[in-house]
Amino acid sequence: MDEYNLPESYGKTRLVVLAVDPYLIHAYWEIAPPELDEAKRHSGNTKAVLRFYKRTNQGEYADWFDIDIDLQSRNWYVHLWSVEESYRVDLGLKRSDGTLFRLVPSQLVLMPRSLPAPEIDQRPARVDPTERRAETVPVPSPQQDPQQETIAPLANLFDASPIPPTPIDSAKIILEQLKTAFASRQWRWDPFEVETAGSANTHTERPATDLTAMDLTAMDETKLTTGLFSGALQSSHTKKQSDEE
Amino acid sequence: MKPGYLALVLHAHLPFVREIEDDDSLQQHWLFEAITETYIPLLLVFDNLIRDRIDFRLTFSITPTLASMLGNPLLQSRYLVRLERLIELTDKEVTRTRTDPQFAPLARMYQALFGSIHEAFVHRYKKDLLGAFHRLQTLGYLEIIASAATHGYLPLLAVNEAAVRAQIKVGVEQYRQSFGRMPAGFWLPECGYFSGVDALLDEVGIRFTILETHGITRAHERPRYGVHAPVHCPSGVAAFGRDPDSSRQVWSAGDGYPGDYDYREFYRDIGYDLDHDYIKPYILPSGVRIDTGIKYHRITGKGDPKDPYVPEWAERKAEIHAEHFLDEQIKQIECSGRLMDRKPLTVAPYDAELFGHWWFEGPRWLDHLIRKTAARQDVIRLVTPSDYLSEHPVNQTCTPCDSSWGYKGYNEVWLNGKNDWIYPHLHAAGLMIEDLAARYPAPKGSALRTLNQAARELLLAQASDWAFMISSGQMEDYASRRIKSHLAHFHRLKEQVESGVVDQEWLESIEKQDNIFREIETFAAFRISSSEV
Repeated sequence: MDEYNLPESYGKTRLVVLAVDPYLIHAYWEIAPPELDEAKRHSGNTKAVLRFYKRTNQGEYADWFDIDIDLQSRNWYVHLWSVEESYRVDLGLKRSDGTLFRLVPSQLVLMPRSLPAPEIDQRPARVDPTERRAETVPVPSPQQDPQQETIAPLANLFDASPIPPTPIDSAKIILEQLKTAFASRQWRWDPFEVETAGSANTHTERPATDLTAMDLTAMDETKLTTGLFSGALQSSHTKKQSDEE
Repeated sequence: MKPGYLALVLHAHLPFVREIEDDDSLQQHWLFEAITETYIPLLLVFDNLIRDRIDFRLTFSITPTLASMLGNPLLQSRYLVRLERLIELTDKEVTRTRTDPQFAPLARMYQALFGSIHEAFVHRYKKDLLGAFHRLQTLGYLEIIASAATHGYLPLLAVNEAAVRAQIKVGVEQYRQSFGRMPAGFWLPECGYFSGVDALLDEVGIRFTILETHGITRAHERPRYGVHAPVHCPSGVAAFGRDPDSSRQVWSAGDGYPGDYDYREFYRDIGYDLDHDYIKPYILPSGVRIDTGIKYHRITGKGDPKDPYVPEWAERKAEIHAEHFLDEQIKQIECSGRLMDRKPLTVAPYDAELFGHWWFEGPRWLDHLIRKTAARQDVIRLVTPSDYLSEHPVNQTCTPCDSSWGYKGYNEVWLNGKNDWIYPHLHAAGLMIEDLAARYPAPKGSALRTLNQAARELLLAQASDWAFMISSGQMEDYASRRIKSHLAHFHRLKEQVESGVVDQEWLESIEKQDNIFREIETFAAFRISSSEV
C-alpha cells in the first residue's frame, strides 16, 4: 500500500466535543489562523480555555466552568467530577477579568448515564409490524396477560416432535462443580424463596420506590461486565505474540 | 413454572479486504480462516439440526463487508486454493506424525475435518456461503439482520448525521440485495447506541436492535423488567438488552467456558511450532509465520507446558457446558418470570467468530445447546427478536442509555489517545460529502461515478475495525494506512469532480481496488432526505 498523508488542517474554525464515557470528554478543534490573529488583537493578554456550560433540565445553561488548555495541542481530554446530562462548550480566550472572547462554540454533547434512572415510570407502546410508529396504549393489567398460557408455536415450519434429552451420567458431577464455579453469577435467590408463582401478580403493582429486592434492572446492573466481545480475545492474542517476540 | 424465551444472536463481521492486494495477504487470511473455522462449521451445525428435525430459531447478522466478500467469486476461488493447500499440509502431517500415538490421531482428525469443509464448500454450498445463509432464512431457521455499511462506530460518527444515515441506508440496501427482502433487525456495530440513532433506523423500516446491558438498565425512564423484555425507543424501534449472565458464561477470558482446560489451545499452532523450512509453503510468502488452523494441544492449565488435545474430552465438555448454560437459563426464567407479567426473555449476542475460530468447540456447544433446548420446550424456547415482538407488541417506552459492548461500556475503545487523530479527518470528510450532496443534487455520467466512489472510500474509512486495531496495537500500521488511503482517495475524487477533470484510468483502478457496494448509489445515501430539507 502506498503512503498517504492527510491534510494538516481543513482551514475551517471548528470545535467538536465527544463523550468518551460519563466522566470523560474529548474535545478537538481547529482555528483558522486569520480568526486567531483577529481575536488576539482584540482581547489583549489572555489564555485559552474551554468553557463548559452545563445544561439544566429546563434546557438553560446556568452553570459553567473553565479548563485551561494549550491552543496548539488541538485536542484535550477533560475529566469530569460529576455526571451531567449535557454540555455545550465554548473555546475562547479568557481575559484577566474572567470574560471570554469566544472563538468557536461546540455542538451540544449529550452525556451517557453512569447509573440506572431512579424512578419507574411506565409508558408502554404498541408497535405493530405494519405500523412502526409507536402508539401509546394503556398499561396492561396482569389479569389480561394469563400467566399459564402455553407458548405459541413459532412457525408452522416446525412440526417435528422434540427429541428426548441426551442422558448425562458422570458428567453430572462436573456439572455440579461448574455450578459452584459460577455460583457468584447466579441469581440471588433468598428474597424469592418464599414467593409462589401464584402470588407473582401482586408484584406488578408494587410501589415504584421498591428498587432493590425485586428489581430486575437493579439485578442486571449488579452483574454488568463490559468489554465482553472478541476485541478482548484479539488483544490477548496480540499480547501473546509480542511476548514471544 | 412460567416458560421463557432465549434469543441467541450471532454477529458475523470482518472488515473489507481488498482483493487486489497480495494473493496471500494476511488480511485475506482472516477471511479464509473464518470461513474454514466458523462460517462453514456453523452452517453444517444448522444443516445437521434440520436433518435431525430439530426445531430452532437463531438470529444472525452478516455485515455488508463480510457479505460482499463471501459473494466475491475471486475471493471464493482464492479460498479454495488456500483450503486445498491446507489439506495438502494435513496429508504431510499425517505422514510426519504416523509413529506418534498422541499426535497421529489428531493429524488424521484435521485431515478429515478440512476434507469435510472442502466437500461442503464445493459440493454442498457450491462456494456460495451467502446463499447458504439465505436459504436458512427462507426455511425459517435463521433471522438474518442487517448492519451498518462498513461497521462504522455510529456514536462517534454522529457529529455528521448524514454519515450515520449513509452507514445505515447503504447497509440496509446491501441486505436487500443479498437477501431479497427488507431487514426487520439491525445490528449496531459494537452495540454502539446513541440517543437518536433509533430514529434513523426507523426511517429505513428497522423494527429492532440490540444493546449492551446498561443501554437498557440505564435507560430513562427506568425499565421495569431490566433486560428480560425489550423497550421501545422514542421512535418506536424496539431495543433488546444483552443478558449479562450468558455473556459472561461464554465470554469471560478467565473462567468462561472457552477457557476450560480440556478445550483446544488457540495459541499453539504448527504455523509457529514447526520447522520454518517445513512450514514455509503454508505461511505467508514473505516467510512470516501465521496460524494454519492445525493445533494439537489442549489448554491444559495456566502455565506454558501444554498436553496433547483429546477430542473426546473436549466433546464431553462442550456437552456439559451446553447443559450448564441451559440449566442457568431455566433458573433465570424461573426467577425473573415471577417478577414479570409476561414470559421472560434472555438475549445472548456473541461474535460469530468466537464459535470455531477462537473457541474450537463453540459450534459443538451450540449444537448441543440447541438440541437440549429443543428437548425442554415446556420451559424454554428459542426465538428471534421478531418472534418476541409478534407475541408482545406492547412494551415500555424508554430512551436507552448511550452505550457499547466495548471495554468500560462506552466509547473509549474507539476514542482514546492512540486513535483520536482519526475523528477530525472523518468528520471533516463527512461535512464535505454533505456539502457535495447539496451541490450535486443529480449528478450524471463520470461525475456520478466519481462521487459514488468517493462515498465508498469515506464509508470504508469509517470502519470501526481500524480504530480498534490502532487501540489494541494489533495491525496498527495496516489500520492507519487503510484509513489514510481511503481518505486520500476521497479527497482526490472530490477534487476531480469539482474541477470537472476526472482521471478515468485512475478512477477505474480505484473502483477495482475498493470494489464494494458496486450496485448501490452510495453518494445518494449521504443526501439529507427531501422531507427534512
